[in-house]
Amino acid sequence: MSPKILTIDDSKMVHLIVAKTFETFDCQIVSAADGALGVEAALREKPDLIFLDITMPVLNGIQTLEKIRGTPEIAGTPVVMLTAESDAQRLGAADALKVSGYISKPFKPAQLVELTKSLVNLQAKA
Amino acid sequence: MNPTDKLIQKFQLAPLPGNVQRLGKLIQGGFAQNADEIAALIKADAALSAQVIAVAQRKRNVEMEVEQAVMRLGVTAITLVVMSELLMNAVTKTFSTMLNAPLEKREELFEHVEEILGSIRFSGRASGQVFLRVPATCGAWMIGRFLGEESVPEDPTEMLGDVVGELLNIVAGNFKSNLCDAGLNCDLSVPSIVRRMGFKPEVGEDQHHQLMAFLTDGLPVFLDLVITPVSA
Ligand SMILES: [Mg+2]
Repeated sequence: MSPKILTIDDSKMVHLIVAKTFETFDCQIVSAADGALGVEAALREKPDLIFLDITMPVLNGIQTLEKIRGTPEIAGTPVVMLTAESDAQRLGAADALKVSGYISKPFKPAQLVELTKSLVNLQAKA
Repeated sequence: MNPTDKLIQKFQLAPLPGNVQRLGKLIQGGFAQNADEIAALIKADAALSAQVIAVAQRKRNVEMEVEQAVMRLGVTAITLVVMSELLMNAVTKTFSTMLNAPLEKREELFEHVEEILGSIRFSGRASGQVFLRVPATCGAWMIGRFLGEESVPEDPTEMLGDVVGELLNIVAGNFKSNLCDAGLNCDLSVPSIVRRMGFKPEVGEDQHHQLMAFLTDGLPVFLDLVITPVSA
């Protein structure tokens, strides 16, 4: 089964970059534009991996992560932070909520691929 | 190793600029008592030294050493210089990594054109606003840089607001992270975007403003930083 990746970010541009980064891989990409929509999308889509921004309206990334970890159906989903906020306090909060990785923006698409390969079964399209 | 350094290693992130953290602590600890140490730290960083001397000389055009420049400028201006240096690093890194577009610093101003203006607010121990401006006509160039020429949509201007918002989010997010790690805890708003002509930020009597102008691939990029001084 090809993995499903959910990106939760308030920037359309980030959604497009993620989609483009993975277009040559056998996977499904879904996206949500803020934290609250992200939790809904995670419940609906049951992704294998979530990329999560911090600076977002409605719920920020840390609040979103708390919701995800507190919702039994999706609590165990691997989450990788994809954010420009990487100070000690943010790092500590994300680590305490068991993130699988932390990519600091600005980022190169290759960083997304490398980390994703270490977390889900990502194969090039046949 | 302290817990934060451990996390930085665990997630393979770039280590924090140590001098910035130290400078933040010294500035908060009292400028007068720590002026010598502040000067020594600035002196150890060539770019920062050049910037501090340049700003001090703008006020009084004589040759001077870092120590004199630090004393002449005082806490507010030194904070502003350090902050704008951090912001400059953040914007340069963001453009070169995300857009593969190196920014060249420019002193001169450019003629006014219609611009996409993004603004973001930070508030807490450090407060102020960061503005990022690009010409409204540069949508195709910018989106092409992000996604490749073949992915530029028919109306790139429509997406330019989102692009400027995210670039500003990244620049200000890096800046905010540095401020927090220097002991100046603050929160960041989400970016807001408008399209307008002839922007000049509102600067309160106790606030400071610094304009930074860049050129990349013939395209002007402006960054404005407005800060409220840190009280000791
Ligand atoms: Mg964001």
